[in-house]
Amino acid sequence: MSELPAAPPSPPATPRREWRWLPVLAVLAVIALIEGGGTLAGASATPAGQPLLVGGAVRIGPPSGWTAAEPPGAPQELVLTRGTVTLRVIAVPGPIGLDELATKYLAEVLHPRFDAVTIGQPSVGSLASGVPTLRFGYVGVADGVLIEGVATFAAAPTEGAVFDASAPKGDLAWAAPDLESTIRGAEVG
Amino acid sequence: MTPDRFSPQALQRSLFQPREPAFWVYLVFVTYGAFRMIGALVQLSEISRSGWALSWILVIVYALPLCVLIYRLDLYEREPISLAIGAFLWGALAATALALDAAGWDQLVARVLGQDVATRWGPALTAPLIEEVLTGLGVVMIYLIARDEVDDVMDGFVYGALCGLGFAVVEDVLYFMASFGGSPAGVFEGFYVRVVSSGLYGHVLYTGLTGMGIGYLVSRREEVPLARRVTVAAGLFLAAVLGHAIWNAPVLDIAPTPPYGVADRLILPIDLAIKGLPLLLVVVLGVSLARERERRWLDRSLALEIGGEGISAEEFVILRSPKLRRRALADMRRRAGRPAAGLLRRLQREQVNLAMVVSRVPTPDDPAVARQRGYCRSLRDALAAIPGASSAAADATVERRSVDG
Repeated sequence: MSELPAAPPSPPATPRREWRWLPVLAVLAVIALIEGGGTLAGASATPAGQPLLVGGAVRIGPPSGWTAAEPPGAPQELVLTRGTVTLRVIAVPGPIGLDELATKYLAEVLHPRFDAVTIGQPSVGSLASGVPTLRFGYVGVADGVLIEGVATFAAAPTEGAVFDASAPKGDLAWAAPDLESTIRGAEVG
Repeated sequence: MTPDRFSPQALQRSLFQPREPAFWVYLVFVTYGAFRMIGALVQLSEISRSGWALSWILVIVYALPLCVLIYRLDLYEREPISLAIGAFLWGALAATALALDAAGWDQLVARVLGQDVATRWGPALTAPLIEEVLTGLGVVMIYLIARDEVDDVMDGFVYGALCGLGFAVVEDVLYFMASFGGSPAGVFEGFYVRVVSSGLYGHVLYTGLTGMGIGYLVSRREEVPLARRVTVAAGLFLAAVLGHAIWNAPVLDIAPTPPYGVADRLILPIDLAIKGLPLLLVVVLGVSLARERERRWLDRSLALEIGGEGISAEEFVILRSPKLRRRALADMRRRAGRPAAGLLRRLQREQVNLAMVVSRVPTPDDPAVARQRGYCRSLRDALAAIPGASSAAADATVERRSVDG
């Protein structure tokens, strides 16, 4: 094939006359409004990185934006919330197996909480400290609202722990990175 | 030689515009988003490495063809690849990272309206507005980086849809890993619910709609008063937010709750269509109108060029019909080989560029037009020199006449 004709020459870009910073500043202002507003709205949250002790046996360090509260009459429990997402952390004293812990939690907490609940396939893993875990996802209906959740159970030689993250359908995904880092970084026992 | 600011190369701008402040702002946010989201996504791989890998395979399998489809919607003036990728990256990295950081708004809803209302209505109140603003800003950034490239409603739709697709890809992986458990079985379930059953109605539509509004706002300066352009752009943005809010709201839910049986799986797409189809139809209508407008633009721009050095009457008829263009290329490939088909494709692209140059120069006898006409002629001559190419072109013409009756 013969050599192809060359394209017409390409000149350097021409300078613009309009003031180019103004719309860029407007974009930055919109981003600042969304991010700053979000930060202010969650201002009552627990400071990031501050370790929290649950029931004297489980230590967690939630990221910024989460509010911690101990439910009345439940010293072994801590509830972390961020908007519609909840992470319930429960310290379980004494040695306990993963299967026993999961079965007990399912029967005593999840089934009573929902009108109907469906459990996903369980999977095994571990916390960053090496404590073995069992986790399963679940979907439940409470008062007509579809709630998605992931329950993680950890069993150290002397203590156990439950990490139950739940939110209305669709909200859990966006909290997943925070939840994953909080649960994985938890120390049990 | 005097630089020609109306050459097609000068008219096509890339993402890399160091002289534009918007480019640096874009770069900062996408870089931040890359660090933030890669860290978050890698963390989720701890749940299940196989499920995580499967999530990415599945989203790539659906996103790649969709990317090509969106990109090819613009029939005549395909957007520069770097800008298209830039729009996708804004959605995938910058918009998702900023959405993650803006989660505090949910707290406000819970505090003001109470936890019960927030649990029921929270997903419909905060996410649509925040996410549509953040993805829509991607189109604004692309416009500020390369203003000439958003010169029609269709351009706005293409960049918007790509921003939305980038956002949807990352969001899907978050959903597969978090809401659907992350195991391979959960990921397949998530893929069925979020992509197979409802993939047509999500962020691609919403941000596409916002992009159309931005395209309308910035490209109709000479024809439409500012107030009307702002009204149309704001209306399309609000339609996107409303569509997203209805999608998230606990209304019109006739679908069964999980676990899904076989019958439930068949009902699910129908239920989701009730919520998503109206907006999809609005967007399809908008895209059809925008394409028709593009066709009129091509007709108008090339009206005085037909039969001249740059484009023959036969070439013009083929050029304005995507179907005939594809047929002509296939025929050329069959009769004269791939290089000839590649050359014909290039000729067609340069003829579209001729329309672009004609539409932007101050007078029809501008040297840039003459140069582009000459370039088209030289490509045609090069094509004619390939054995078999001339007869293929002639056959395509005869075939076209028979198609036209």
